[in-house]
Amino acid sequence: MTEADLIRKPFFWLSLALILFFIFAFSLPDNRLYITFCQVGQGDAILISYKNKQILVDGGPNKDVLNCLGKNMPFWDRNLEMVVLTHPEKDHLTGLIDVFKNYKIDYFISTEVSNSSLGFKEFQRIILEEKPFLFNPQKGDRIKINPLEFLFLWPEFKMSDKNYTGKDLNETSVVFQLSFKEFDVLFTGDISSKIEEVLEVSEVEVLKVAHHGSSYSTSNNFLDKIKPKLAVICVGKNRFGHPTIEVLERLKKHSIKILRTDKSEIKVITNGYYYQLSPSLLE
Amino acid sequence: MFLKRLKKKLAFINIQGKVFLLVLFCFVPFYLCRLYFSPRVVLPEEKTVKIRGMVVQQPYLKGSHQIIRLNSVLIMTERFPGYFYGDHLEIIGNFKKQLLGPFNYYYLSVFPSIKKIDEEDNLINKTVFKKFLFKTKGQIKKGISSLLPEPHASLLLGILLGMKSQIPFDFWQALRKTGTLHLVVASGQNVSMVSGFLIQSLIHFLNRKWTIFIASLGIIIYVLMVGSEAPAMRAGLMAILAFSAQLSGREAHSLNILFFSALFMLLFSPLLLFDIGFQLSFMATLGILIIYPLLKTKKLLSLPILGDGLGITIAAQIATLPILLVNFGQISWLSPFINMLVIPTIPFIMVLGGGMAFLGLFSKLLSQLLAYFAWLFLNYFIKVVNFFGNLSFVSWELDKLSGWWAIGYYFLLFLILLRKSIYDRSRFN
Repeated sequence: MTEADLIRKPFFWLSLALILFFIFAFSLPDNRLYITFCQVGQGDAILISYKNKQILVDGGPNKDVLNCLGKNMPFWDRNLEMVVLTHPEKDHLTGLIDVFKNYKIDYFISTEVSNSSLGFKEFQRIILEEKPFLFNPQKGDRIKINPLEFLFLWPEFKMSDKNYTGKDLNETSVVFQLSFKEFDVLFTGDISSKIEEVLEVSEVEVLKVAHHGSSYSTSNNFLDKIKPKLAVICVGKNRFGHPTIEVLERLKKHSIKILRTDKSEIKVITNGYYYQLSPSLLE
Repeated sequence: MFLKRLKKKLAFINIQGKVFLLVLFCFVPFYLCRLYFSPRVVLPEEKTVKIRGMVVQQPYLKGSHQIIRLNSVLIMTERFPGYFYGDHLEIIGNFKKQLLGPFNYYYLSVFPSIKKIDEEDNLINKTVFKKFLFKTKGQIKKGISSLLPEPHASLLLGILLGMKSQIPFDFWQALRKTGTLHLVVASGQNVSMVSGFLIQSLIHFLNRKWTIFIASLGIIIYVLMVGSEAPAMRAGLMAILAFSAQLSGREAHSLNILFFSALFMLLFSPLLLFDIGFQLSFMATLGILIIYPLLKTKKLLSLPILGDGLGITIAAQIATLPILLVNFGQISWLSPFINMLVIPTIPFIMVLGGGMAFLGLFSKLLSQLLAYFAWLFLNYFIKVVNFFGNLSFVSWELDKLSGWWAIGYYFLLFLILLRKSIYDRSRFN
């Protein structure tokens, strides 16, 4: 019996279909929320998944985000319910070009601030081609994907090229809090302490450390205010010295557990009351 | 005295062999001439230079950078704007020579300034045709990557079309460690499967002559599409030679076909001799043709489906071992076993992948259905490779060995095979 004989046997394909069905049945998700901080090098890419809903926050600087999606989504799911671009810089944006090319995206959340880079032009072209539903958030907006809730904390106004005159794209970052029952995570993009000061935030369990651990972000005041138990730093090889010793010290001083994506992918799993880290990270 | 004995030993070389040796002797000086006069690019280093040229390979991504190739010049630049095969570029920058071997080198320029020149439109030339092929390839890639997750999509594209640049780095390392990398480059195996498939399906509709003609055409298109790298070119040439021999009613001896394809390729492009892909492909085929039949008689290798893969890999590994050691200093001793486990999936992956690419033109739904089945095989392949790739003892890292070691090895191998063949012959008579 050779492969060529097998290919012609209907029984063979039928049993394959059966195997596929079993794999499908076993890959059905449970009732917990999974937050995966992808290992994409110097940049952010975070996948939030609950049941068959997936939300991606930023795409990292390269195609590695596709591996992260491949690994953390069921094989039959080619659909992301929502994609958030915090701000249009290449360490957050470039990977999204490939995501938009290869996945179907329902909602795209981003400010209307643009970047003059060629990568952004390409991204714009893809968005116009794929036509997701667009939403430009501002402080106080809420998006509900039951039972998840996204509360937007920044920018203060609907931001576009017309009303944004500053130079630092980082300060236009979309900041939001994700809530699932009693569990809250704060996503901060690349904001600096200047904005952290004026954010109206409550206490959270997990903090996505702003700007890859830059010393101009994550101030003591801010940490006092939000009291996270876990801080995740999305970082890779870089020439800026991220994550900075200052930030690491500040986090340590507040006895916050620190996890970094340059060591491995980080997965936070929660039922809404308690959370755990993916097995490889348990000490 | 010694000569006489040697003569006696070599007496078994028949007329065909003598003709072959004669051809080889004529070939060598001719080849050396070609090698000597083959055009070289020489660029001054430590100086800003302006060059113009055509992109000779579809540019690919490495991390977040784009790699462009103009003959023996490699350029690393930003991902956007993306350039394409056939673009004419003007490059201003510094070039650094990188040696790959005594005759093999390239110049590398990192982030030079690049300007696209408007090319004059030559109405029909081979560039236009190849551009069309690469465009089709791009379409297929787009279709497949939107149907399968990573790294499954990349693996399928590697197996089907020899596209290796998009394969995630971790998975690439696992493939390398397990000795299965040859399955994702445009290898001879792909070409022989495509030609087999074409022949078998066309023969139902056409007579022999037309079948062979159209299959040859198909092979040429496939080889061009996968980027005309040495292994694919060798296999394509061999297939076409074998077909033509069949058409002219001669019996074709695979070994002769292999040698003539190799000689032809070397005359056409002398520097290929120093191309590792060419060396590996040639020696692996030689190993499969000579050593595999000897192994086949062993009981151990008579397992259904799996046995063939094991025998073929062992044969190829014996024949290519020195090339791998001298160039990469790495050997995966479990490789035949791992290959045995994954090779049987290749025909399914190629058939399903081909089906996906074809159906993708008409209906996304149907091609998605095939993708699920392809996923099953790909996932198995990936699981096996990742599992063995994570074991630290799968491969041994050695210091790179000297070329003399390789020559010694081949000489010894030659003697063993010679002895074996004389022994078999005497037993047969």
